[in-house]
Amino acid sequence: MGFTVLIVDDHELFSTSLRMALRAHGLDAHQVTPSGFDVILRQAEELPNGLIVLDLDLGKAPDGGWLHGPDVVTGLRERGWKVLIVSGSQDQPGIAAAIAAGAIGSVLKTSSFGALLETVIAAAEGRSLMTEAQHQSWLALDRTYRAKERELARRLSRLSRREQEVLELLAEGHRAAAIAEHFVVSMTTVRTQIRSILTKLEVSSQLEAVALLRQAPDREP
Amino acid sequence: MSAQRGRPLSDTPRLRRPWRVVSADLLVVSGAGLLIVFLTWSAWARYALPSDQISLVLATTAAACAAMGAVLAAVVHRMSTNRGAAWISAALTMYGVVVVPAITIGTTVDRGAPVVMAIRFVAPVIMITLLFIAVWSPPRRHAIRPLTISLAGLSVVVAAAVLALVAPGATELVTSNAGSWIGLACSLCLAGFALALVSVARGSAPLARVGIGMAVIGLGYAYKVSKHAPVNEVGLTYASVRLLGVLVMLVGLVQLARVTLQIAHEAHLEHQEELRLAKVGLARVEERDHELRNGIAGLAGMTHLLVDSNIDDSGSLCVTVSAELARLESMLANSAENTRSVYLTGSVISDLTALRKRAGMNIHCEVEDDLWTEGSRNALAQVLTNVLANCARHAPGSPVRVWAFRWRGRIRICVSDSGPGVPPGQEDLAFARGTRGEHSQGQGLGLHICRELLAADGATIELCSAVPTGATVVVELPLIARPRAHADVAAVASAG
Repeated sequence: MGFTVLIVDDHELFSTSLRMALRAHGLDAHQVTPSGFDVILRQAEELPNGLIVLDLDLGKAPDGGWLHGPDVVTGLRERGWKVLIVSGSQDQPGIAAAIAAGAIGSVLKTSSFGALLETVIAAAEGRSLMTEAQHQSWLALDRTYRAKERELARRLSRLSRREQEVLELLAEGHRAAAIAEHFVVSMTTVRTQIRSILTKLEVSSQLEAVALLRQAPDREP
Repeated sequence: MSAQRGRPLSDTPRLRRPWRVVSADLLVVSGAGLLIVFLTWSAWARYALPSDQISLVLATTAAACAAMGAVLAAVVHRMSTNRGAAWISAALTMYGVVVVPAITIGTTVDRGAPVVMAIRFVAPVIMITLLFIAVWSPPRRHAIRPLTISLAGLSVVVAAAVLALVAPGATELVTSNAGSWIGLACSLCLAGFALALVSVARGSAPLARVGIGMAVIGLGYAYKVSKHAPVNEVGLTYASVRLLGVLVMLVGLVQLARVTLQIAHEAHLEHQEELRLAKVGLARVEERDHELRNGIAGLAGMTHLLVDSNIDDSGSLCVTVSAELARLESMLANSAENTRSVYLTGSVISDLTALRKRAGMNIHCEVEDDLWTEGSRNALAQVLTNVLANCARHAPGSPVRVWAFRWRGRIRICVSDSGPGVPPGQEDLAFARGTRGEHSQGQGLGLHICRELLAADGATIELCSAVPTGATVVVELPLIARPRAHADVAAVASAG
């Protein structure tokens, strides 16, 4: 049997078709449903080392948290696997984080399936997917994104518990009147809280505050 | 703001009846006016106070307050659609910058100088004209700036001064006539009262205050011109009454500015909220796009495989592809308008089972009559389609039984097959995204999506293991009474 390829993707139609296509090209392809990092790592330990095709966004874990592909890259590298990132969208920070953690490259799902297949096969054959300059620029991007994330976390940590709850509700698309109803407080109180949130997050509008929260790490993409 | 039961809205300005506010104002202002007259006429004020100096100080304060009022009115005009405010702003500018200094200057320069007299006469005339225009508030096609009006007024004053220099005789003719000064004072009173009345009629108490203030100034002026000759010194009574009028006006304008700011602030907050909601909606669309892209990538991959003739498992691939298509469709249906309606559960079930039967499924269905529910018919149809597709995939060829009945005040729909079922204890896992049977080829076809679709209507979906084998999916919907319109139809049908 050929080189081992393990496909880690929560979209099974995609992983099934990729697995079958790779097998048709003589590779020993497997797929795993990522219901948790431990499942992925266990599966990786059971197979001979090879190439992992890892989705950036692995969906919800059974415990309700979100599984981010980049977080498992280091563990897979330690077990001797090469990691290739596939992503459904241009999630630059995610790709940068994965490459900084040791992924050998990334490929978009939206490119043609033939092109995607070629990239995976090239990676399995050990060909390099990016130049040193590209690698360096990804690392630089990752540093920038990390600095941004730290700044974001610093600002978010200023919020009181109630302010965090209010911000979450704002980000879920609730109206201020509904939030006042929810906490059984007056509209004025909620408006004061919103103003305080904007001040602490150093933004001038609710839109920016919500956008900021969505960029924060440990949240659904 | 739908439900604010029991709690008053503390942040909306309460509307009091303007005429009540205004009559209270009139009482207070006339009381203060009488007090001023009484105090300034008393012997103590006449002989003990340095009347001229105090009058000068009062004049300076009045001019400064008028200027403040002009600025506030200009701000109100810029921040709202209040057309009158632009003219009031210009009138106050004229008053603070020209009228008050021109009257006060009489104490320091040559008293009867024709230039001063001309300015003293023309500036109030312009001011009164501006006030009448404010009362009228003509609709204009182009925005007019208070500054432009003020500059135009000032240039008229300058022109009058030049005219007085050129033809002092003609100026004398107007200014030496006591009647023209009395007429001026009466016009000012009239303008003030007209503004107050019109504002009360329009429901604006703050603007009515501006009018009252103007009228007070007019009354003071009438007193002055009737008592002293216009060339004489200002007089303590007039200076005090004038300041009272200006202060009343200022109070009105401060209120007007506050209300205007409050309205602008409310509008700003509303816009912020709308923008935020748009952003949240956009983010949801982006999430869905992400899912759709993933689905399309999978479908593209499958197509790629199907073109390759050396794949022999095309049958199971087709099932997977159709399942994925159903998932993508349900995702779009979820976001499209899912209108709530009252409908018969049985009709949805029998439609779907008939469809499956035609497709060759061994399916049997029993549905009780009159199982009415309220919610999205489309959502239930999507969910049952998904459930039946799951049966077809996990237990191919096995008989499927669907039955719907009343159960503890709700509607229960059970769909069971006799396939491999679910391992005990893992029933809930089936609702995690992407879970599927160990030996299954297919997609863990979003039972969690089904759960989300139903949750919106207060319905639930559970997966149970059946004895001895097979899986049963239990959907529970709220049961409602038969709608009146349908009850009538049924009654007519049974009677006929």
